[in-house]
Amino acid sequence: MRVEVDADICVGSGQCVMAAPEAFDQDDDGIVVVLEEAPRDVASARQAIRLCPARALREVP
Amino acid sequence: MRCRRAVVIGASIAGVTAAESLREAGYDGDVVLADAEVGNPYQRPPLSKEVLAGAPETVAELTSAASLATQGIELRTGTRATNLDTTNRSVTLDDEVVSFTELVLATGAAPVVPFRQGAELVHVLRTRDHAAALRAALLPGARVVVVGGGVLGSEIATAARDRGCAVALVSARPVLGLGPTGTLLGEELASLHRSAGVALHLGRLATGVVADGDAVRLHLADGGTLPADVVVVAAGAAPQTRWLADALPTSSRGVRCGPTGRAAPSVWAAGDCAHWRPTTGFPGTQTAAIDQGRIVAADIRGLPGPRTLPPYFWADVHGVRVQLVGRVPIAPERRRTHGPDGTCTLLLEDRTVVGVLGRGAPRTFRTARQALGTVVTHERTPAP
Repeated sequence: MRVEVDADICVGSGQCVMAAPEAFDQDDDGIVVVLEEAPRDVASARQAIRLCPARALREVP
Repeated sequence: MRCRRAVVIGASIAGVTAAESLREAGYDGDVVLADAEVGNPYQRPPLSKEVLAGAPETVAELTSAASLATQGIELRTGTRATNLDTTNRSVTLDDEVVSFTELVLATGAAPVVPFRQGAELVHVLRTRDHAAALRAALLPGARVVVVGGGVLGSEIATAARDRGCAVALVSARPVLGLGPTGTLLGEELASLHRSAGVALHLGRLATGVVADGDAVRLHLADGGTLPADVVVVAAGAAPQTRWLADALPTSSRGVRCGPTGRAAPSVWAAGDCAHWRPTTGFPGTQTAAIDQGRIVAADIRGLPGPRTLPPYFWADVHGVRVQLVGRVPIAPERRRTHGPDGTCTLLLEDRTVVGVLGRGAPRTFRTARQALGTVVTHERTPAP
């Protein structure tokens, strides 16, 4: 799986970093940064997608 | 063996999350997701923020019928649920009786206007259509009176000022609140509003609206009136459970549920229509609805509860992003923590950081939230 982000709608919660710290980080303003476009830990990445309060993350095949 | 069919009523964040999580958890029966509104499912937080500010309504979209279809979820929009038969496990969707093996109620809540007189003259904000109608009314120079001293009231006042309206905010309570932060930020919010040019009328109860030529007048319990071109009422919402009252135990707080959202055999409820005991996260917020949708899906599949994170809440008031993670204890001890773009407040209980509150300091918040769960040791001890 791969992950796409929509940084424009990210609300800087940091929930993705809590769920999947190897796949995601936040920039200085708290906005999501993708570290692994194809996350190795798929289960955690899916949790991050699901837990994002802004639905800014999306799984793509 | 009889085919399984999960029916989810309500396609906002709780319902969509439940339906998608069911599929993720390997549910292999039919999944039907029904909603009374038409159009793609959407979430509510952006309505009072980006959408009122002028962004296209598509920013609030959660997903599309096509995307749901690829997950094997059948979306039925413009479909109202009218009757629940728990004995025969069926629900009436428009005129069709649909049987289910599992039912998830996620019908949300509807705005409450706490007065009768002129209730048809006011705007409310809950749905995409409400947001579009309100945005169209927020014309530069319009006199806008917002009734409600909570997060929605503050965000509407923000949008109205940004659009060049003359704004007054009326609250029956003497102190402004902001979602799960309660009244912790009451003074700061009041000064943000005043600095932005919003006239505050705190501790004043609205009793009705009367037409006055092309405009209206808001009447107050103390005998005062406020002239307005637009009145918006954001004074709370009630769970949409009336159609269920004969079928399930409900109260004014919603469908009564256990800790995994079970309301009755084969029936679960999640989000703003549900009253879970014990509660999860910050009731009434986006992260609580997401968690509840996931927990319900796991329970339906007979799986252990999914991993949850400390709840998060955010709001935007006059350009200041308020952020809260964790929880707010009753009368918390507070510590300030400084960072590159401002300060955040650590909320302590028994010296442990249980909540982190930021306003206008996203960089500091990003670091400060890592203090959640830590014990604060460098306490200022009183002199012996």
